[in-house]
Amino acid sequence: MSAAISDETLIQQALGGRQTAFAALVNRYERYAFTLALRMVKNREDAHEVAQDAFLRAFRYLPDFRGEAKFSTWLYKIVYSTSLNFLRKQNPDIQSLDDEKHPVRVADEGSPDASHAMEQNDRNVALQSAIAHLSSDDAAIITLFYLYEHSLDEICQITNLTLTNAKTKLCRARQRLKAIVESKFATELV
Amino acid sequence: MENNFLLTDDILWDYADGFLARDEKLRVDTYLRQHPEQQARLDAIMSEKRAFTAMPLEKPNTGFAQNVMAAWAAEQTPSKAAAPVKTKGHDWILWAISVAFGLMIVVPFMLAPSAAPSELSLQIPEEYIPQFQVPTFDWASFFSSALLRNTVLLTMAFMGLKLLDKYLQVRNMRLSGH
Repeated sequence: MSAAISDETLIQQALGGRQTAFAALVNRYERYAFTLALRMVKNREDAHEVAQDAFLRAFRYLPDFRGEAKFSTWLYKIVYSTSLNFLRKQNPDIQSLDDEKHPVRVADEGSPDASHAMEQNDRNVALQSAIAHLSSDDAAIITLFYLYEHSLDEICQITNLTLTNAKTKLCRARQRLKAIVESKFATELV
Repeated sequence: MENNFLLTDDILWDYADGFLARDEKLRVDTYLRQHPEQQARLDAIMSEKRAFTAMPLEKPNTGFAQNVMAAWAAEQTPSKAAAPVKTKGHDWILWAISVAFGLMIVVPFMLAPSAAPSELSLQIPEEYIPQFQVPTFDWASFFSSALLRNTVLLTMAFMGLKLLDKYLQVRNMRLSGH
């Protein structure tokens, strides 16, 4: 049963050249990698490209993985940096993804996004729609902390932020998300 | 509990997220016991947090994993071609070339003695032939024998073909991009 095999075992098998071990790692983490990429690049097609590129980079550098961090942390770091590189290529003017430079984009009342979300009687859909309005950095940190349940230390490893910055960013991201939810999707979350 | 303690939403979120130090957490617990009406705020935050953590993961399109593996296999292919692998399936070509080269070199030498003029053969008068036999090895006939000549030629031909084999391997590696 592949679910019982640990990441470490799969990595050793992959390093030994076993293709099924690579495939097992993809199957295990494809949804996590894709979700993080989607939250950052905001487009399914681009997210597929980014997630695939991230997996290929991970496999290429797998011999350098020393196991000091969890494999998932290492992989998400690659997904995160691949997403950032993708966004920078899309918009070369972007130097950083600081909150101040990328204010929260709240959909207009009656916009297709808002009206579509208002029709959904689903808490998760409303939250996901709200996250889509966050900046890439905010969406990534919310996803990593709450959805993937990574600690702040692990988030620091993934994003290269300091502990204080990571905590501040998480707090701000949460406040922005709350503001979006309250202003646009309140009915779904009641 | 001091009167100036203000239980903000940020503190409650830090409490919910587990960021508070032990003494800070105790302070919040004490405050909530003394002000049970504030418990609803913490409950709301905990509910919001549960909603965050309960969000489903996005699902990539069907065949995503297969696409990744196909791209990985494609990336691996040139590396395998670059490895010095013996192409056993094509050995017969090299052997055929070896035999052809060998025959081209050896056959003229084998035919040459029969075509040589007979007056070149040396006739020695009998009186000059010694009557006693000294056990000697006939080095001259050994070095002029067809066996040695052919062996040397075949060895040279074989070494030449090994060099050709090596050259073709290197050329194949360059053509594959490495």
